[in-house]
Amino acid sequence: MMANSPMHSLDVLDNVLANIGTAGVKKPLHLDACRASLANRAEFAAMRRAWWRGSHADLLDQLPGRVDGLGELTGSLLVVGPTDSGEVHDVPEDQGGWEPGAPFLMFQERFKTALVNTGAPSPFAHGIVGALNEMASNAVEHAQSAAPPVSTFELFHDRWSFSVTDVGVGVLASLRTSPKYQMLKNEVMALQTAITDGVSSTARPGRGFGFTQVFRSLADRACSIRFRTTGALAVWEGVSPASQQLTMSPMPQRIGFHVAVSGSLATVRA
Amino acid sequence: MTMTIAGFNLAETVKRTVLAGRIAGAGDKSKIEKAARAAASEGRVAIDCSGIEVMSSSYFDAAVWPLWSLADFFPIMTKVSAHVIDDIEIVLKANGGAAWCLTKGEPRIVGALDSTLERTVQEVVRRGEVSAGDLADLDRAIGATAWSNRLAALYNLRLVRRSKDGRRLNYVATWRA
Repeated sequence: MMANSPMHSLDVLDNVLANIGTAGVKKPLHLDACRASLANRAEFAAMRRAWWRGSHADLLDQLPGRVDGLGELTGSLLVVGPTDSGEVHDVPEDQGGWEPGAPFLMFQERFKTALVNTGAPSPFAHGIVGALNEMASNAVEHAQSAAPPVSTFELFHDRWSFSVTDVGVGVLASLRTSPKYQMLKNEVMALQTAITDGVSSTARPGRGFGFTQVFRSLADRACSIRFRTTGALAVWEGVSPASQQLTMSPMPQRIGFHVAVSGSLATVRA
Repeated sequence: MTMTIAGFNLAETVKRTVLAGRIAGAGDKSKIEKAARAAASEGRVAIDCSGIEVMSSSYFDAAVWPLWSLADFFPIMTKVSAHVIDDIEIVLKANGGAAWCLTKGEPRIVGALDSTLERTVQEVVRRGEVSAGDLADLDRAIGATAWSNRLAALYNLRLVRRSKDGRRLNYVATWRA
């Protein structure tokens, strides 16, 4: 068993996607009651990484035995449940799932409470949950995927984090649905454009400010941000991020869009 | 002078204090419109934002901003925290819109208003009730038609209400009694 270690955003990405079937379609894992320890989750994350790299055929046989205590297999989906310090949750795709009292809103409430319980100021916790909400809403609206996006949060040792992952068309294809963004030539350019204020595949005024909420919620805070889309990566580490400051780079193709944001609880409390 | 404007509390209406995400906003839109219509008096309604911790631009655009497009409807935001105003202003500026915000009884306009309309609305506020003809006296270089167009633009932004007095249209700031 691996020692307790924080789940890196890549682990989170791997942790919430399963490679289902021979077609290689990535689908999110679903949530149900499970009392996995973080150590077990780390082990599971390592398994997911191997799965992601293509050795899933071998792992498929091992999975039922290995995931004992982590969750339940429902068909080929592993059901992963919450721990005291983190959760994985499907993002609802219909408006009813965003109603007060709905499971997804309760999930966000638990994230907020967990942050506040570690000493984070309430306005900061509200801002972060708002940012998660924006990213989750974006994923539902733009992914064009039959599979629901997945959101996670985690507080571990001295770090807080959240992520939203979808298995959709990615940023370039999404933006190119608008004539205004047909000229985008590559994934890096598309990602750079997408995180700019006021850019949306709808090309409507008042749209395209979801990322703004992320950056604003992190003003004056030490944090790291990772946006990964089909063929590009944008990362940032520092204080008070801004869209134009992210480091962009081309990456191997992967489906969908993934945002992971994390920060130090110590600096939040300060 | 402002008067007590009938209104509704936004957080109580949607039963949450973190208002973010376009999908959540689209889901809440009809609830908010229903509450606004129920509370409105002569088309005027105060949107009480007390208790709201976060209202993202996307949420405001999807859920609240549509109120400004309803016919003969004059929304006014009240008790809006400074950081929420920043997010609202993003949407207003992107849409070329503006709105009255009442903070501690003091009205201020947030959003995009060009200097011409700014001057016009200030004059409406200063005089209480005006017609285009009244404003023509202010600056003879600007004809009554131009003043009339400016007042109509303010009306379309829901920053002023108007009433007819014979052939004359009188304008008052939305929040004024």
